[in-house]
Amino acid sequence: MEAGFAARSDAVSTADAWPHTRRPMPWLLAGFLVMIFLVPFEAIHLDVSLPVSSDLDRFVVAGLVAAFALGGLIGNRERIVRSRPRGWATGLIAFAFVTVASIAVNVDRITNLGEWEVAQKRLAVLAALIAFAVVVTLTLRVAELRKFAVLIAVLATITGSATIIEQRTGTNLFYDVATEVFDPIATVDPAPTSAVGVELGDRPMVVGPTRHALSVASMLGMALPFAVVLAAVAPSLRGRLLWVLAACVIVTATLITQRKSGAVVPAFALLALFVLRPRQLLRLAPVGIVALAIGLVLSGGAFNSVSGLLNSADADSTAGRTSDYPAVVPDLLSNPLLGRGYGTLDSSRGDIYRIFDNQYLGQLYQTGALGLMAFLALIITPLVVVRSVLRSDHPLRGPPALAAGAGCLAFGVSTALYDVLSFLGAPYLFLFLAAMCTCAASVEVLRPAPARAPSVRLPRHYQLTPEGLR
Amino acid sequence: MNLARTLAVLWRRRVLVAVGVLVAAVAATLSVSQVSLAPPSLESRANVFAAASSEMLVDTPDSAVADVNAELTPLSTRAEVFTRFLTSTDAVDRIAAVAGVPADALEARGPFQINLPEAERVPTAEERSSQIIGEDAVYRLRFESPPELPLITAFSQAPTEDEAVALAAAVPRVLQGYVRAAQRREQTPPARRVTIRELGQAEGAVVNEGAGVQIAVLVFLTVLVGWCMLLIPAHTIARGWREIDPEDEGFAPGPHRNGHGSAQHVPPPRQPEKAS
Repeated sequence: MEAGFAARSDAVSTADAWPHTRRPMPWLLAGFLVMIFLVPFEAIHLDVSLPVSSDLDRFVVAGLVAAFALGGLIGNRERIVRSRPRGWATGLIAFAFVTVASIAVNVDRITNLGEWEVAQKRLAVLAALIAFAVVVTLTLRVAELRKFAVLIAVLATITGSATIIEQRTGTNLFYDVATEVFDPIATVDPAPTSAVGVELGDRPMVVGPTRHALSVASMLGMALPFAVVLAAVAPSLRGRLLWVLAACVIVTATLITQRKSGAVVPAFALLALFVLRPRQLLRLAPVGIVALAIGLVLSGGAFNSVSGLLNSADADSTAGRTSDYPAVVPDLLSNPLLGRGYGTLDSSRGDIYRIFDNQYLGQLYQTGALGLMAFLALIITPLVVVRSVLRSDHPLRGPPALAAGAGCLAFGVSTALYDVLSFLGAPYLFLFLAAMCTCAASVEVLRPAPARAPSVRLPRHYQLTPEGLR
Repeated sequence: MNLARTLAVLWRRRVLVAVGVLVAAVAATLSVSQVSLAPPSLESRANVFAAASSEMLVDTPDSAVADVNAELTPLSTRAEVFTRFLTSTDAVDRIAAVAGVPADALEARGPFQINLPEAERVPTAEERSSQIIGEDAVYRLRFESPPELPLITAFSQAPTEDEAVALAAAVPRVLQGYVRAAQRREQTPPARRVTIRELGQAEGAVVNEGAGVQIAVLVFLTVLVGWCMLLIPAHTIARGWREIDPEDEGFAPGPHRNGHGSAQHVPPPRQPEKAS
């Protein structure tokens, strides 16, 4: 029996579940997770000219959707019937409709100011995100959640380790490997790393596989609950210690980014876990403290990183954030309901462009009050859907649901700390976690096997009638 | 519900899907067009515009840029001053008059300091308020002056290519006229006068042709997908409604809905055997 999460019999079928399956979709999703955590996909531009974007993730999502559609049309009928909780797609649908509506009502101004081109690109990104969310939600099975939770925790640990190496040496392994691998078919942007030899007062730029330190900090913060929950449910002390060490690597990697998000996002994720399952997770405290001390020693003291959060560059960042609020008032008053139009914030227009260090504020500016509500619904829906199984003792549902729910909450927090939709690693991961939440709360039933004709040859004087053999 | 079943349901409801196509087409049309009933007309809301540009060099009569020893900083400073002048109401009125466009439909902005830190570069609430007022203008001018270079670039935008080119071409003429008038008025010695040299002819082209169609297609697809998504639960509800038997509340043997909504034969409950 697992610590705190008692095993209980359930109708969940583990047959044909990833990784013990030949179904292609779960493998493709696992590959996508690997891409999110280990490949700097936003910096890889395939040498193919497309009207919107030739970034790697668009091609991968298109491949996922094509594989899903082909499987739905010509694949074998699945043996498991899944009934997803009512309203799981509410946030997605609302957000998609409001974004298009915000464009439609502002057509004259958007076309007059030449903002359609940039809005088009952001809409293509949104379409990729929505398609990904739908495919993952309709593919995942309850029996696969735990394995995917392990995959996320392992990938986050690898990412965290390589990010620590990046901070120590200035070598970004993700970008270096991607440049070697994708060189013949794609252009890989140089790594934005500036960890070594930064001037006093400046913050280093430790980005891992992403384009910005905030993005990698958010992703690791969202993945942290998986390592913690897996430590809590590990059957042996050795396993528990390993997962706690993995959690320490992830926390250290988030702290060395020297961004406030690196401290705030994991803190909120852990807080959510402890609020929801206090007794089970408090038992990890002694092991956690020891592992944290070891992690800090091995990382050369991440306390320096924490103190680095208080330097002058960070104070400028805070001033920039607070100045955003009064500056958006005129736009809010002129377009209160649907904003200026989704994706119309054009970075090439120095006269009006403003980086919102808060995606909620950015949504309010671009899509108005309705857009903000839809965006909030997008983030809250998985939390509402998963609430019934957050405290479940079912080993296949409870722990993954708890970790995914805390990860979604961490995304909600990081959304308030930077323009999260401008860097796609965290949004993709959030949508995967949201799908895990939906799946954990789903009902799965085995479809009855199709009736087969009797294989024995009957003597001639027997007849098969509705009443039986005569 | 998998994809094949979804498509099958939509095919059975093809009449309603066709109605959805009609609704989506109307929504798409309304999103990019202004409809008037009296008199009946359909006017596009999407503005197709053309853009053009012209470039000016702020120079001395004997061309300082051709002299290695000449100091360019005073000319760069003047270029920035002239750029700011070109956004003034007086200059905008003159440009509109020369280009033959309505002055109240012309908006001018610039220069933008791209090298400043973000906190100093981004517009304040007051600046945004005045920017928002001018966003409806269909004729637009934007001026740039690169730091430490005596250059001014004018970018124009207008509904037609000819108007855009006329606007861009009007800027050097207005600036030349203004500077000459000031020099005459102040009796500036010829050797100390600045000269505005136009660098080539203004050129332009239509840049956002087709934006309206693309937005209409986007709205059409979104509304149609939304309509079809509504049809699926509506289909399930309608089927459940039809299958309700008011006399038998589901206790009798026969076809019933199982836990997943599909009707199939459910065997009658077994009667307990009587003890003999």
